[in-house]
Amino acid sequence: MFGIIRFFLKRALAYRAEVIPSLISHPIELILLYFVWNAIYSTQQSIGDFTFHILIMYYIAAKITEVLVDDNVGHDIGILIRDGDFSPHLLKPIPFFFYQLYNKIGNRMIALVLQVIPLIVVFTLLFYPYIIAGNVYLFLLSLLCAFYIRFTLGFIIGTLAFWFVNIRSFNWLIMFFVALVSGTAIPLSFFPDAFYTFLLFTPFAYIIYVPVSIYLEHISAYYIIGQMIWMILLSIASYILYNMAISRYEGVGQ
Amino acid sequence: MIVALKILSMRIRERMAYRVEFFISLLAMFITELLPLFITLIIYANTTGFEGWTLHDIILLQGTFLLVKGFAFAFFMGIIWNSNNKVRKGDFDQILLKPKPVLLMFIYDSFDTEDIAKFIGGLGLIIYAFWHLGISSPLSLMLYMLGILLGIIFFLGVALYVSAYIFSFVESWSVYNLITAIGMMAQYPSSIYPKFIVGFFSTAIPVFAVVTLPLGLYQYIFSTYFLFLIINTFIFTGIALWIWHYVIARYTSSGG
Repeated sequence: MFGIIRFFLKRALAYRAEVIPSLISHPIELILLYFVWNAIYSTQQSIGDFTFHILIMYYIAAKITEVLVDDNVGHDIGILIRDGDFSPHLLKPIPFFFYQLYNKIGNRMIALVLQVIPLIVVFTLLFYPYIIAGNVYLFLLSLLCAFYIRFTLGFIIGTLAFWFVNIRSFNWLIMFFVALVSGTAIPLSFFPDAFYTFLLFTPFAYIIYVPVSIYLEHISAYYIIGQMIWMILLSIASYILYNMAISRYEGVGQ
Repeated sequence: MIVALKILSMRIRERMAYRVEFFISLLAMFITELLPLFITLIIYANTTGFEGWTLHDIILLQGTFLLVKGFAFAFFMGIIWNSNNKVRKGDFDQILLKPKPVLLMFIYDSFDTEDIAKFIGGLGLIIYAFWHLGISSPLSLMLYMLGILLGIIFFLGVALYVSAYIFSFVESWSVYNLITAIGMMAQYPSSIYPKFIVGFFSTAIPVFAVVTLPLGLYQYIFSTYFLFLIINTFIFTGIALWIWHYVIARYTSSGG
């Protein structure tokens, strides 16, 4: 396991040019949101549970969570299958699911060092008055669960490539849902009550909104149990779908 | 132009081979671009919104941005992803061998049919907004379209800068996030930003040209700021063209 993670760490480090755009883009997004909401809050004190200060802290924590759970396993699996490069993975002495999981762990460890830590420094410098010390320990636990939920969602989308070959559209849709209804773009409690309640029954809410709200102590820590339930359900779905896919897979090549 | 149209029609025919997947892609592409609109709707549902801007004004603004972005992404922003793929695999040499200007061939090779959905979506939003706001005169509409043209020129500059960056550093996918982040700036009224931000995004990276110009020209606003924005857009894209050709002249085929 550690050997595989080490390999992916080295590979990710080879493309350091990824870091600079990321270090610029996330603060720009946050600055934009700061001014958008600053304009809105100029006419009112709070929206629901959120004052302007808490909302900015929400976005800071959401950005950091987003980077740490970011996932492209669906895209990667899609490319492997479309380009006919999947067959060698069947010969590897490690299940494909875990191979991809370790790949992602290595990838996000690099992101932690090269993106998240510099981002925390940049965010602290830019938004110092808005930083709130929340429930860090429970946040970290919830973050780990969110990481796994996002990974399994990506894996499930990736397995669709066995049926559809080109799954770009599915990847876009999942990105859209993660962006809109996971809490990245807006706290989910801003949605109408019925829709908010509905979202809490979907895995998307447990990727960003739940960890960040646990950090801000806006929701009970029991929501971590909800994350664990989704982890189990999505693991089972991944297992079933992957095995169904493998049973119909035919590799042709040289 | 004939070559461009032939390649575009070929691309559409290629994608139509997987018709269902193509239409799902078009739909997905359109939906994913609606995120700022959803945020705006939620903002207007929960608050009084942006001072001096009705919901339909904002829809017009975001529709304009989507239309320009859709055109740019369908016709030439593809050089960004193509740069990533071709440089990493070492396939760019094939483009260099073609008997036409390199940039033109590279753009032809990078047409992205799915992004037409963004263009159509943007057009839909604009029609919807104008339906509620009304069109003041045919001349204002023509000026609005002229503004859109400048927005497209701005995006061409962005595509060239990013492509040159990728040629220099072999691969970078996170630049897409950077483009999205900068683009989002233009999807809200410039009046909400402090002057230094408006100044920076009107000079160094004149992203406000994408929507502020068409909407301003539509309202017959001919200020010095607009002239400044027009000149900056041409300078921005002119320098991008020079840098791109400079980088390509030093390209040494890094893939394999």
